[in-house]
Amino acid sequence: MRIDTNPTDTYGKYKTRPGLFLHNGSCIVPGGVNFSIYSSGAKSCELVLFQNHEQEPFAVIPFPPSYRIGNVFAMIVFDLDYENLEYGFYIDGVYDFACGDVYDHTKCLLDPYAKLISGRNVWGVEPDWSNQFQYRSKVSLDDFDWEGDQPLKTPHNELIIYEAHVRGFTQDESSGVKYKGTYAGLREKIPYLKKLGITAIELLPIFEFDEFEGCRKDEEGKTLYNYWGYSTVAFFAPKAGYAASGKYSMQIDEFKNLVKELHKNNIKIILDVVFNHTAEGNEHGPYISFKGIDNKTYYILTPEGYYYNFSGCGNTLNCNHSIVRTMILNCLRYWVAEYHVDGFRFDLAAILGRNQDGSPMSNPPLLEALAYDPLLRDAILIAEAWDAGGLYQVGSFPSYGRWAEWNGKYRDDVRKFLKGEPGLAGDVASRIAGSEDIYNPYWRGDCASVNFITCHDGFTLWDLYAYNYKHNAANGWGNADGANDENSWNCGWEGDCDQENVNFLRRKMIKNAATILLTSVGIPMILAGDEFGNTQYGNNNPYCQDNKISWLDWDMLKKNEEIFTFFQNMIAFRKEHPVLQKMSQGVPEGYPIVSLHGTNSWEFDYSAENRVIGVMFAGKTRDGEDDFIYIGINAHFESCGIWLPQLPEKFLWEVVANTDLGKQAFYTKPIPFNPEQQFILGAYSVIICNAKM
Amino acid sequence: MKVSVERNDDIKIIALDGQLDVSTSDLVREEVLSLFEDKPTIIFMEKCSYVSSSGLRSLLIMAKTAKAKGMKLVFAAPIAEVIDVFEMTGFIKMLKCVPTIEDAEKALS
Repeated sequence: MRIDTNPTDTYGKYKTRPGLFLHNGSCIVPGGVNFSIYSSGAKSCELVLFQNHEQEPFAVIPFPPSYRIGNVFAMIVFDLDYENLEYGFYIDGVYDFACGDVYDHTKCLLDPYAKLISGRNVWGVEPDWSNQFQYRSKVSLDDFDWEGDQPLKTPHNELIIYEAHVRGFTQDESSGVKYKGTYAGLREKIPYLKKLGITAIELLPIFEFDEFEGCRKDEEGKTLYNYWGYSTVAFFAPKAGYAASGKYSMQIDEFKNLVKELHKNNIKIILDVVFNHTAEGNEHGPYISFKGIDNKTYYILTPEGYYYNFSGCGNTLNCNHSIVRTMILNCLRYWVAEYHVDGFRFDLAAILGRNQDGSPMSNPPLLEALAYDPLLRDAILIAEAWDAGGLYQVGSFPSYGRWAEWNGKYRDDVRKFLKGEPGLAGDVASRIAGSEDIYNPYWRGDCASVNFITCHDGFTLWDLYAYNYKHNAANGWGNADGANDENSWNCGWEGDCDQENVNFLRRKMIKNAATILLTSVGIPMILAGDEFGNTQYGNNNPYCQDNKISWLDWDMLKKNEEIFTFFQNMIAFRKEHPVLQKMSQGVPEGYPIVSLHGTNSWEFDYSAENRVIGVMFAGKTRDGEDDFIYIGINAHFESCGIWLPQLPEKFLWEVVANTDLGKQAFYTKPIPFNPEQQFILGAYSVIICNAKM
Repeated sequence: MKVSVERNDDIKIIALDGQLDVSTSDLVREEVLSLFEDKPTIIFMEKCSYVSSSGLRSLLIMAKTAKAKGMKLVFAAPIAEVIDVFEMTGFIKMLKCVPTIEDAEKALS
């Protein structure tokens, strides 16, 4: 028995002792619960204890002076029923807005290190707005039977990422799952993910957020929510409202179990994390935690005390302050060590490289710390390398040889080229070959480019080829919100159309995009639902749509089986050929790894009017045999003849896929092709040819 | 929560009556483990009205202890809400559950 398991003091009927000063937040200790919190400007701090869901606290216990070392307060309270407990803090300090101190001891503050949150336990249940303490910290049980699980150790080269929203993925009736819109529901879809063949799922934010933040009614009285969740309330807690067991506060176990099951099926999990701002907004926003704990530490403030808004969401987290940096590092380490998460995608990551006065840094301590952290060594770190303050860093993000980036240029170049815009042949060839012009492999390695054509921002792949214009009226901003540069093409009709020639072209364009994406060097990312032509009815910014606009319509899986099968085959093809994943051991003699071609082999036309690209990869199969892959793209409205490159003796080109062939686009058995003839590549078509011994 | 032995011949049936949460789970677990013998055992859960996070852990420890002893253990007749918790959290994969005592006896034979 330890000598520090006994109380040393009493406060009313509560027995206490000084707590664990090295710890952050709460944890169970023998006989009681420890509570620790940091604040540089607090004159005093009180622990506020509630029974579950009660408005009024049952105890308010001040931290005595002996329970403070430096800026850390720590207290153990004995004999607490930690399952029937919610807690917060009252912190008193100076109110001097211009100096950045806005202490208000009447506000009950959330523990910034809370691992479990109550207050939004069930999605969409209208809160009691009179409740002074909306998001409540709870004590968590962090033990879990992982049965030998660890973060997966497969190389980043093998990543095929699938971006999904937890709720939207299974909320619709058509999903057929029991626990709709939840982590448990996502778990029920693992067999589907395995069948599709993706190797990683990237989830839109799952850190606790408030779906009621900024919510409003549309013209028909329907509620528009903070549906996507890019507004964090608590960085260490999984969202309760995404858990089927959230009403019992069992979201930790439910989420960990999801991770365990994904890993059993060789699927990694990547979390979209939002460290650029918090849900506290600016000076008009609520006190949730940081504002009342240490405002000037956690936020980048102007000299007058206002909130810099590089995120476009009201405030900017002061990421490179030592305290905040430590919190972010602790957060990521926590999710990797405790939840076995395999990586992170950082929203508006350019903010992570801003100094405490907002200026960009060439050597940001936070990014350096993340790149070299030992626990994060195997985690994939993906940056959305821009922010809302004009800092665009695609290709120049401070990467330390570790970071990958969302390659926005890939999306733009490929979209424009595929719909026939001029002047892009050279760029698209570079994109397919791995974007070495943007990410020099010497500095950035092989996996810096996350290639994508669609993501949650913007059109779905179906809508990319069904709409020329965005249709966001449902969002309530007069169609002013959402990007205006989708580079989309409606194939001849705006929106829903029953003309077969239009729909044939749409399906072909989707297959074109899929083929290019899944044969490009880099890490491909697919938007969930694109593989079965899911539509958002032309809404390219459905961040607030908690309804059929955003929910995946699984009835499309049957209707668009042709598209699903194509994606499935393309993913399998990518996995079969190491050269596409830059994992080929060796090169066939006399051939470069990547070569560019046009209508004539070995001749690439860089002129503005060229719409024909041929890219050949030459590598080795896993058995060490020579392996040649040719991707031919014709983005012209007329067909053209192309000459395929000559192969070594005994090798013959076989056509594996031709997007011009409708349901038969991906051949069940490749068809040999006579190299003495030209291949006639149809209008707006892509072919794949493969040659092995 | 009350723990009682309802049968103890070739099969032992241990019944749980009440709520399994932080105030009861440690004691219940210790009591149940102390009742384990080298024979097939059913934990009868019909009257267990609620299982919390700590309750789940106690049940899991019972299952793992039984496995380590080479003892067959089955959880019988958990109520719908409790089965729901097992399924949502994924604990269902680690706890062998059946709907009735009769199913449990069959599973143990």
